[in-house]
Amino acid sequence: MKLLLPLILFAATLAAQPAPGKVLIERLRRMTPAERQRALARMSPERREALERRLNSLDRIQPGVRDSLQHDFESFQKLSPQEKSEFRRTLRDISELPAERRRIVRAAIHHLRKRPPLLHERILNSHNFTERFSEDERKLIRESLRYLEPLEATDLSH
Amino acid sequence: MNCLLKPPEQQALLFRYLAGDLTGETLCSWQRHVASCPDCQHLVQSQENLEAILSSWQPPAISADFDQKLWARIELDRQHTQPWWLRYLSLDWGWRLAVPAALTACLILGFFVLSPAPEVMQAEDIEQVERMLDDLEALQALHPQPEDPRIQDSL
Repeated sequence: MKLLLPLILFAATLAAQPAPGKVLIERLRRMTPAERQRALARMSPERREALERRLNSLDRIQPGVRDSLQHDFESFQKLSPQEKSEFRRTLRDISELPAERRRIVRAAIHHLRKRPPLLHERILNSHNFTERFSEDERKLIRESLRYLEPLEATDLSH
Repeated sequence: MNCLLKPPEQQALLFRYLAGDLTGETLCSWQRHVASCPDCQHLVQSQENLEAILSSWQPPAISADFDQKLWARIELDRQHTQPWWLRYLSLDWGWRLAVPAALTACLILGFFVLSPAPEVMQAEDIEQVERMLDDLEALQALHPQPEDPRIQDSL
């Protein structure tokens, strides 16, 4: 029984640590509007509204996308801090592309994830790709594919 | 005849005599009185008999584990007369400190782990949620839906 106290204290110490973000997000999503408002009372109204909008948008993700997004997110969590940082930088660079190019680059990444990884370089260096994507864009696509796992190839016709 | 022991304050003479504390004239007066007073003779005789009995009495020999048996008996007796929680708390000093500490730890656990929603989220937690949402949204953007046919054509 004397061992129980250190164990309890250790568990209490762990419990006192900030909960993982995923747990916090799930907790916020399960709250009623009143509970959420109380939980976020320390935020400014504008910041709280923005956060609530973002949380609500998670509920609107289509089920098929939600599954693969969850898979991507779990894979992302397994990356080292340095890899996460690099991947975030790549994603940020993509988000800063002009709107039309940004959509096409993201679609290209999505498209290539459905292809076998062994073919990625060949496709990226193909005439079709080099003609449609700049060197920088292809670099961003290549960097993204480094950190993303292949998607299930449900549609190989594209 | 006036007995020397009749006044209550004089009764100490008997015990002083038996203890050998009387000396001089007091001792002589006392001895003369006792020789002529049947009541005092009876008292002296009784006290001397009592002292003889007490001095000849020997306590019985105790066993080697007498102390252990005694403490066990005291403990058993205490257990039958104290409530369980009092017996529990009085096991040793360590437990008296451990029990409130454990209760406090349980309360902390209950508050941080089991409670479905904290009253107010800490700023650190909120920042963590926002960072995670940033990551989620950046990853979500890589899942275009529905796929633009023009984009598909360009690929």
